[in-house]
This record gives sequence, structure tokens and C-alpha cells, in this order.
Amino acid sequence: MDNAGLVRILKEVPACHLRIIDLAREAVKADGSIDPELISFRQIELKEAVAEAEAYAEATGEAVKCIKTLGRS
Amino acid sequence: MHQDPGPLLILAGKLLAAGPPSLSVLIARLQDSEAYGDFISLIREFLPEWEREILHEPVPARQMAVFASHFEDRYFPLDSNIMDGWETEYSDLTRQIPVIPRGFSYDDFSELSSSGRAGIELMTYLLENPYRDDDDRVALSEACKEHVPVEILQRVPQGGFPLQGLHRLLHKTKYEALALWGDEITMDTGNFFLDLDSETLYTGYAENINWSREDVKNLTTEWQQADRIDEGIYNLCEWLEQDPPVRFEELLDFLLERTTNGEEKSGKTAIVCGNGPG
Repeated sequence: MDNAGLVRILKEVPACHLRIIDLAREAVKADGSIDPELISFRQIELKEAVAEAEAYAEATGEAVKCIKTLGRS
Repeated sequence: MHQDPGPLLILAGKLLAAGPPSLSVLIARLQDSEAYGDFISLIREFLPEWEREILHEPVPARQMAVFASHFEDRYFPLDSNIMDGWETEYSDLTRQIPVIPRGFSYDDFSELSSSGRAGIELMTYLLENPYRDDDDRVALSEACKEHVPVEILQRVPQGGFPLQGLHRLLHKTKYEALALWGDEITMDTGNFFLDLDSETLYTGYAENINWSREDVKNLTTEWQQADRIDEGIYNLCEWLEQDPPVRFEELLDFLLERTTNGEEKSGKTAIVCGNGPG
């Protein structure tokens, strides 16, 4: 696959909604510091969001490997 | 008073809505671009107006599940693994049509005596066992005793009414669906889905089911026909369940009368009764 093909694929790939981004926005006070009370209320949601983000990070490694393999072929 | 959001809020919303790229879709596309291309072709061939919605899903499994959901609305249902989003590779969908087998295998037949449906158990008991399995028939008779007095069950001919000739006996009568049930338990309905069981499907038969416009059209017709056949059978089943002793005896009387009349005309010996459940 040439660079143009790879760029086309990257453009077409849909966005992924990571819940941790929403939570990071919601779990801060007006001054930007973390709101510990809100965090304590949303522990389960937070754990799930962290697990999702970790899985995404692992998949990033896989995607990089995939692109490197393509680059070598 | 309503106040429009400020430019920073709008910008924040836009940034959050963008999201990082779906890596599972990216990996699937890079690793198996051929299967992805086939998937796109399927969408454009069969569900072109849903392309945007399907591809908007962030992972291949969800894309295929949304595809399967819209496909079912227009054509026929696909395998539940696709529908439920368990299949993760595009090739699971694209290599052949993932059809749902609706045929009655031997295992399915053996479990009929514990189906919990009185109507199904009674209809099956009236018919000969296609697998000639005495144990199954004994289990079935035990199940039927829960719904109908033994005296009535004992009037069923030994081994049940023969499947051959059943259509002739019941043609254009309100009991015609019993003959269809006989076809179904022997996987001899002539319908693609009802004559296909999981074992046959997974031993290579599926390779012949291609994603062509013609096959999809034919299979859609076959699925609708299978539904009509099943509807007739389940209507008879429900009718029996409304009053099992009375309705079963009515059906049995009808069959015995027809059988006796038919055999008298053909000069054959009357059917042997009386060794049902004791």
C-alpha cells in the first residue's frame, strides 16, 4: 500500500468516542482542578472509562505495528 | 432568557465531538483491505442508503451488526453472531452469506419431548419417528401423558402415523399443517432454511451461498416461505393447546377415519392401534 492509500484510509476511519474525555471535562471544577466529590460518586463509570482508554492505548501499539509492517512490505 | 453558547464552548464541543480515530477499523482495514472492500461492496449493493450510518460505527463488529439489522428489515435475518456484534472480522460476513439454519437435526428432534410445548409434543407423537428411535418415542409418550389421557394416546397407531402419504390424507383440511410438521422434522420441506441444519451448514455447505443479488433474492423468498410454513404449524400447535384432550382426540379421530377409509378403498389391512403409552 502506498502513502496515498494509507492517507485515504486514515481519512475514512470513523471517530471513536472515548468516555474518559467526557469524564475529564465533567469531573473538574470551574478553576480546572479535579472535583473529588464528583469522582467518588462516579467510580464505576470512571473505572470503565479507564479500562476503555487502556484498551485503546494497547490498540494504538497494534495499529503502529500494522503500519510499520505495511511500510516494510 | 435564552443565551447562545459562547465561541469557546462551541469550539470545545467541536473538539470533543471529533474523537480519536477508531483503531479497530483502522487495523481491520490495514490487515485485510480486501475483506473491507468486499464489505463496502455489500453495503453499496444491498443497503446503499445506510452506508453512512453503518460506517459511522466505531468498530467492525458494530458496523456489521448495523448492516445485519438493516439487512434483516429488507431481506432476511443473518446469523446471530453477526447480529449481536460478536464477529470482529469483515471476512466473517463477506466470505459467504451467514444464513440461519432452521432445520430439525436429530438432536433437535430428541429434545422435542422436553420442549415444554404440549402442541408440539402431541403433533410429534402422532407421527412416526423418522429416526426409528424407540427411546425417543417412549420419552415423547411420557411427555404427552401430561396433556392427554392415556386411553386416548393408546389409540394412536403403533409407531405413529406413517409420514408417507400424510399430505394426501390432510390435503385442504384444517389439519394440513400436521403434514408440514412431518416434513419439517424430516427436513424434507423443500424449503432451503427448513431443510438446513447447523451440522450441514458447518460442514462446508455454506461455501455455496454466495453474496449475489440472485441468491439474496431467492433466500428472501425462501425465508418468507419458511415463516409461512412455521406459522401454519404453530397455529395448529396453539389450537391443540387450547384444549389438548378434546382437540387431540378430534385430530386423531380424523386421521384414523381417513386412514381406515383410504385403506378400505385400497384393500389394505387396517392400521394396528393400542400399544401406545401404558
